[in-house]
Amino acid sequence: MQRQTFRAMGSEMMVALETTTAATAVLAAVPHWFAQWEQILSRFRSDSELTRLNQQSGTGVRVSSVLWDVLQVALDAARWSDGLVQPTLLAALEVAGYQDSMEGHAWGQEMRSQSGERVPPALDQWRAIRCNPVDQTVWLPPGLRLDLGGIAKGWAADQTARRLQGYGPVLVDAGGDIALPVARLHGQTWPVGVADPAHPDRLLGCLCLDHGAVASSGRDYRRWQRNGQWQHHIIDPRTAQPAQTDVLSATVVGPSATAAEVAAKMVLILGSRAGLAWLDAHPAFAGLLVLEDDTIRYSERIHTHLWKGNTSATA
Amino acid sequence: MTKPTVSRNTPAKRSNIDLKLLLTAAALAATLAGWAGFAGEQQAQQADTATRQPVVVSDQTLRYVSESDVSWATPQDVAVAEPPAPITVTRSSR
Repeated sequence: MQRQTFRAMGSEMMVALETTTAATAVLAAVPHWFAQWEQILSRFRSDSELTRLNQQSGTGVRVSSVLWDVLQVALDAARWSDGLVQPTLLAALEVAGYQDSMEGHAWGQEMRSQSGERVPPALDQWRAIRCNPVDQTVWLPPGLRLDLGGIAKGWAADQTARRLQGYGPVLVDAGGDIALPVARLHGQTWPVGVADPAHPDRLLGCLCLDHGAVASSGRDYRRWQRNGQWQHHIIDPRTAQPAQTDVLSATVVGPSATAAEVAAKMVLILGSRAGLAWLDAHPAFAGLLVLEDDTIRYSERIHTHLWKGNTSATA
Repeated sequence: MTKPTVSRNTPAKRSNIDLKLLLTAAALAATLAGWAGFAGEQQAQQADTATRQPVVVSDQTLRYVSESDVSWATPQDVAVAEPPAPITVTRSSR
């Protein structure tokens, strides 16, 4: 197994390639791919393509194929989740206090919001975005700005896995959004630990996945205080505020890292009861939730993926 | 004058009595032998049953059953497998 680890998009990244052929050169290229994507997709960089698009709301802007692709994935997610997971919540995030990447700084501190205004609910806001596929131009309603953070990591994991899978079975971990598009050699599964949000050094269990993806969404890490009240980065568009939910973290197995990431965020916003019902109603997904009171809830199908005391568990 | 009758044990009568005694003794001996045999068999059966009675052991004891105690078991049936070492860990992004 050949590995490459690096930091990008404010998170730890890791690529594992199961191959006997020399793949050093292609693995060395992966951090550069992420650097290029981050330069296009980061909302924290004043010179990123996304920032320029946000600054030109009200005008049609021709965008790169990467920004176009990720925006289409984000709009698909909005359509698919009935607006619960959508890219138009940057203003709400900033009002909650999440204005800086916090790279190199500790979370949990008091953060001041420069824009103290309350943002109105935004469940259908994404529908106002206009995209012309002929020339790949995007038009944002005046004042609307995009944040592609979570979607960008899932997309980057899927994209990297697609580029590398010709070299052999590959796993790409983009800050917890993990793509593993093909099965390992000799019938082995991909063992992926699930971190305990209350004790990050401990594992809640181990998933043994044949192929697909897994992602986690939680309010256990990227959180801070504002006026003495805890805030976190997962905004509920129905209120335009950090989601009020009994779920501390959601881990979801799905067909792609992007889909698993969107589903995990949606389940967290919905809460444990509606979230588990959603997972059970969608055969391509399964998940486990850690609740605020430290209990763990499982969807019906997650047991086919969880390690159960033998080494032959398969997805 | 009538001659008094004197009852005597004649040789024929004596042999008849001896035969009865012999038969009685034989029957008694057979009965005793039968009882003894029955008792012995019972004892043997009790001993046999005792070896077949299930031995009640606590769960803690069962945890320490080794492969050599269960000759029909494959090693996988006996040993508790360790969880596989994760290649990576999923968590909220950090």
